[in-house]
Amino acid sequence: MDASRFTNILDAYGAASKRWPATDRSAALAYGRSSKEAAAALERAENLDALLDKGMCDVSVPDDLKSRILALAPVDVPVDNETENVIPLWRRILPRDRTGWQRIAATALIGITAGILFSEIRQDRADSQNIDIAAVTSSATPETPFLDAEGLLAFDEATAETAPSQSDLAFLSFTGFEAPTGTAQPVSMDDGAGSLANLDLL
Amino acid sequence: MKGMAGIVRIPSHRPASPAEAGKASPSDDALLARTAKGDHAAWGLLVDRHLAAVLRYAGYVLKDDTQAEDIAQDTFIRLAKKASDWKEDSPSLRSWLYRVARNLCIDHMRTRRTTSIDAAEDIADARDGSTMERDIDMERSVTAALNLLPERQRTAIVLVHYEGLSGTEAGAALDISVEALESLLARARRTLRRELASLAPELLGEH
Repeated sequence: MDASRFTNILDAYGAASKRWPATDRSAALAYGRSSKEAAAALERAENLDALLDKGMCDVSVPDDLKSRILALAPVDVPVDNETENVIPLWRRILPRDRTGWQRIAATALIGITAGILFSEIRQDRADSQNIDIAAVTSSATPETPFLDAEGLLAFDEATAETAPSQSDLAFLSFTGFEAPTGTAQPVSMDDGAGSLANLDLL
Repeated sequence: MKGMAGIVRIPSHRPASPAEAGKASPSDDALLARTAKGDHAAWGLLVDRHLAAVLRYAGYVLKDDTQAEDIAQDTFIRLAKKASDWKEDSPSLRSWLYRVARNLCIDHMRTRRTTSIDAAEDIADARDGSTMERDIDMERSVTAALNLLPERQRTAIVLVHYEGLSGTEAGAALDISVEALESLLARARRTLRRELASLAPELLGEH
């Protein structure tokens, strides 16, 4: 430490050693005690520091400002490191590594397999439920409508020969029709005698 | 700026209490890394730690509450974007924040050309006033004298004298070497001494 460096430190940083460069601090402190000239220079710098301290201010941070800034937490502002642009949605959704793509492929495979199995089960059930409709055969009374004026399935007591089976009643109940009071001949949907072509819709 | 008008005896950087000193507080770098992973608590700590200083700095430069708040908010918007890209070998967060805030202030001042006439009048008023008024106006005069400085010199003084940054940190904030910073500081203090000498010659030893 010499007089020139000591003066430079005081001119730049003032008299408070806490502001001095750490590498010079101890030597400058020792130099300041070494001569009257150094002590006088230190005092001059101290006086200016005291005056500058009068301009020191403190602030209170407004609550609304703090709230606004807290809401800026980066999790809400994903950015691309290179461009600092907001990352588009598709890049946030799609995986960026091989493992992520493998997971998506495995999930898709499971989904497709489950879909196929489920559709086969439904088909088996449909086949086993060979639905019989209680209907009056067209050959017996072709002029007798299956449906009445309100679109309801009607039975012609005169031509009905047999009572509807349990499955017929269940079907009618399921579709909202009232069970017939008379009898009807059960025919299969596939039976030509009860073909839908014979339905006379009003 | 709130508090700018009153003489403040509280230093900008209060020493930590023994209880606070005993706790190992996480570094800015660690908090930034946690923030980048979506840790809101870490972000809150960073805001608590630095918002007041950035707001105070913008207040020193702009002398306007609302504009200083805008600058502080914009500075933290940039920090939020920077968090995921922050590297530990970056300059200190404090330096980075002041550098961003300073650039924003400069942009702002470019659109709001101010003159130094008001500052000079403040000093003259304080010189002519009564003793009691002089005490009250002393602080205004120091502020006015600071406003007479070129922006770089003013920033250097604010960062080192008022905000307590080291020469290295302040140099990084201004993007200059420590030697260049010391030169700026020396010129700034010479100007301040000259401007304030007529106001308080006895205090400055200018008999």
